[in-house]
Amino acid sequence: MIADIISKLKNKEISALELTKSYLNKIESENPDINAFITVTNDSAIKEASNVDDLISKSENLDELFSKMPLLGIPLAHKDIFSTKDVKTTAASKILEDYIPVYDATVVSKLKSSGGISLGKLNCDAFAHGATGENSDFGPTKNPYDKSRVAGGSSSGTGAAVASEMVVFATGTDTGGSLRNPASFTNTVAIKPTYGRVSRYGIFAMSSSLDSIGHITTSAEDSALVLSQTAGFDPFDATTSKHPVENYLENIGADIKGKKIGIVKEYLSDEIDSEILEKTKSAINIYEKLGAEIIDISLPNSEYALASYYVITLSEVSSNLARFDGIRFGFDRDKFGDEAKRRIMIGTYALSAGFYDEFYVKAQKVRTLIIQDFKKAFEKVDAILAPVSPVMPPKIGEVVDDPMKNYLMDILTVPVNLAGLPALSLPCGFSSKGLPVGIQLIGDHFSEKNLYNLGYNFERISK
Amino acid sequence: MISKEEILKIAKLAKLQLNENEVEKFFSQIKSILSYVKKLDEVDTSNVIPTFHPISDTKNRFQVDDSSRTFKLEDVLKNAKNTKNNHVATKGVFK
Repeated sequence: MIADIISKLKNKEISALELTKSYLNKIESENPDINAFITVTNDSAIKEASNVDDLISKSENLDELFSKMPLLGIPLAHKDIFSTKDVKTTAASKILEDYIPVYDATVVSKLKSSGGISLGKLNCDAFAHGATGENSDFGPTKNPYDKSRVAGGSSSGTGAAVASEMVVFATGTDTGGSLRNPASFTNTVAIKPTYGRVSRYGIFAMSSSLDSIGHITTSAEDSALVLSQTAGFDPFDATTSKHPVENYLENIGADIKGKKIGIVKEYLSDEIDSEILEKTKSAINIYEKLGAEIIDISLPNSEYALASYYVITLSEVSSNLARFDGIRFGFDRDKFGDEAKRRIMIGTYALSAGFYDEFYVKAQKVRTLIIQDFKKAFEKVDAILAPVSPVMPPKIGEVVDDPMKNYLMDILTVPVNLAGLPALSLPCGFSSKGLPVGIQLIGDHFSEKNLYNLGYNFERISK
Repeated sequence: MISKEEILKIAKLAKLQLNENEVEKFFSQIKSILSYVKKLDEVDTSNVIPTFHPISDTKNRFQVDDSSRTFKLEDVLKNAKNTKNNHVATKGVFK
């Protein structure tokens, strides 16, 4: 989609202003129902789009201009946990209802430098806690494919906005599945990059050893292009990697004959919705058709991943939310929603004297075993194929009163975060009720180029 | 497992004020989450080193001592609810 838009902008078939206005109009007509946006920045978007048209009209070498700014004129939006200078950033929580950052997150400024035009801030579960979007203090985001159902979470607005064409792409975070889950529920593509591949600076920390910064697009190619702009070492984030950023678009369509795809027996249990299993099997068939070799593998410690994840994430969350003191910014802590309070409570307990070894250290030891399982698997395969969600998108209200039910939705996504691995989630068709189903490709650390190659080929056949 | 007294103690440590209803509601929900994670006791981790950080290429990263990048005082104070004399104002801790 991005390449088509860029070509129209270069040929002057459309102006950046016309383009941005058409997306703003879509937001105006769809958002009151879908509730993907918390803040829409009409005026600044229009101003930026006019500036883009100015740049384009004055340019003597459009190819050179677009090569320096590969996202020039492209409408996007940011999950509302990304700091955006002078634009209200709420984390979808009443605690930060009036918070206005005085600086941009690194990813926000990178996408600005690439020429992207932000249309506003997207709804999500408050502080990114959740798998359905229902923990937002500003109302849930509806699934564009069935408005009685959730859009997934925690990057609910991110998925819904891209799916309903309110933006071309949108940013989000994935700590336990928060990009892959909404993408699979909204028929879109999500990348959860390797931990440390994209800077977390300026993005509200949820779980510091698990948070991964990514985005949702409508194609693998668009995803690769956006990652090429956001990836890289950042001196402001000490956990970013100096591993070189590959050219993700180069040879993205190359043949995948002979590539080895692993199928994890523990991930295909009968606890997973039968239609999702069916769709996963059809994805396996597609890869066979493309010439890949399918290899059965086992990740023996899989059943402990969710428990390990939740102890670690709740502990790290309790620590990261300690900064919300109502003194330097934000409102008093009694404005935290239920889920935030629950997480803080359990995390504090797990880290407290007498329980730290029993819970937190134990969980981190199990984490080591889970990572070892993956490392062994990647000696045999180039990527792992798996479903994303064990359930179809629930109806709004269905899981909101049962935290454990909500947590169990992450069962297929959290192992990836524990190990810091990259994963690409792709649309894989629809259920008998017309609901989207997604699959994910999991790779070894820094193998995003390989994932995009596999994903691009998959799309060619499945679309 | 966890008791109601422990819940109140933790709430105090975490600076959360819970009302009666919240304590009731959270008590059963927290108990069920804690009993789920008890699963980890099944795993033999006797010779396993914990992983606190998933990628090992970052170690002892120090920031360059560079004072050129800083925020203006007015920006720093912008979001504070109470300020006084270019400081963030807060309740006194000394009697």
